[in-house]
Amino acid sequence: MVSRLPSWPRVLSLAAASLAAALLLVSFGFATLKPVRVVPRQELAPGWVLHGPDGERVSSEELRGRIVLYTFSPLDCGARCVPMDSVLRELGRRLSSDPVDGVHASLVTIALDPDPTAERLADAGERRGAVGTEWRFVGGEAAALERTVRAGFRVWYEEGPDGSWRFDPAFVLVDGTGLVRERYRFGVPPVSYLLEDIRLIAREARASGGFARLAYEAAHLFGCFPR
Amino acid sequence: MRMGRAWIAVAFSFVLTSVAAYSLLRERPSFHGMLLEPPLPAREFTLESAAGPLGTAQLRGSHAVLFFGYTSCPDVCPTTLARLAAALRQAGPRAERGVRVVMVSVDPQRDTAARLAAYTSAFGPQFQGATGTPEEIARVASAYGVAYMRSDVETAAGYLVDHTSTLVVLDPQGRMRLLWSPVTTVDEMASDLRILLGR
Repeated sequence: MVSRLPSWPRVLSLAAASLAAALLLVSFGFATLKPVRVVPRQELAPGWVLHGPDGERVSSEELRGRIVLYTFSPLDCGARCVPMDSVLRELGRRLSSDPVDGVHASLVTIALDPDPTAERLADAGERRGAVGTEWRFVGGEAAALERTVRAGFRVWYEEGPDGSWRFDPAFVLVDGTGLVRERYRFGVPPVSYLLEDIRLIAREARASGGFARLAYEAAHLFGCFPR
Repeated sequence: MRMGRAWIAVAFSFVLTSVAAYSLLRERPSFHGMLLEPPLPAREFTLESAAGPLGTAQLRGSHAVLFFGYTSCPDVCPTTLARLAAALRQAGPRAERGVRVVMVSVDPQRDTAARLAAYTSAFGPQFQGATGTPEEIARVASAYGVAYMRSDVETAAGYLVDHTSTLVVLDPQGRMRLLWSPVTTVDEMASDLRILLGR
């Protein structure tokens, strides 16, 4: 009769082992199956005040609550910016016709030329196809560009003595709270990548309350990133 | 009999897992601000306060809340600092003793270190003000995602400065841990502080 009774230390060890195995299995499943995907939070994006094509002051604060894709280029960029502009035009068109999952997104190109006039910004917007879309050009004085672009976004640029520009054609995606979520440094990312990341950030912003928030935090912890 | 023991173990671990999951989900502290997990590195800075240099190096070792404002600010700054003071009181003695609040001036032309000290001390002994040259302030503000500009509006107290009023919470290791938007309530900030300090 006595021998039929369970040996409690053994039962407890078995229970602890199966609990650990279950937790390990859940963690492994979460990390490999990625049931919830997120775009990683990387750092705080810089705060900035520059001016737009109507001469108006534009700041990062006005864009708070929106997902913003930043790019950086001189206004007269020539053939070098053709692939970048093509992606931004297409993305700008898609975003202006339809907010992604109810969240608005904007495209901002920071002109690397110091002190561009409002007319030059407007002209660049028109030439490069930004008019009528969610894409806009902003610019500012050299010190503000240094602070925002070089120190803040950590994007390298340099104007040569002949007026030519060398720069890092980076794309930087910032969420509505002002956190950098993705940097696309190697070539121009396809529109589908950008839209996917914007959609993931929008979904997280919309759905990460209550129990869903735990799932999103776990996704950040387990590195459930799209690529 | 071995099978019987195994089933007991499985059933026991199922009950244990269910209880743990239930209590975790029911009791799990939930932040109201934007929790940065893992924490993000904070940009290093050193500014001036009435008591000497004040920056990330001096703030290491305790939780700190960074706010960017100015002493002539008519509305947002005094209310934000008053709400923070109330949140610290509500969060308990550990928060009152262990959390430092630094208001970095976005109006370095008018805000001297002495003026900032007189202003911030009204909110509590853990409140300090920091200032620097306009270039230093611009660099620090930008690094913490803060935009500010002199407004065109003039009041009896002089010009106004429009600025971001997000609060950044740094952990004792000097990393960014939490962001509070300007609409975070006193109760929410107090709750977040209690969780950060381990209740």
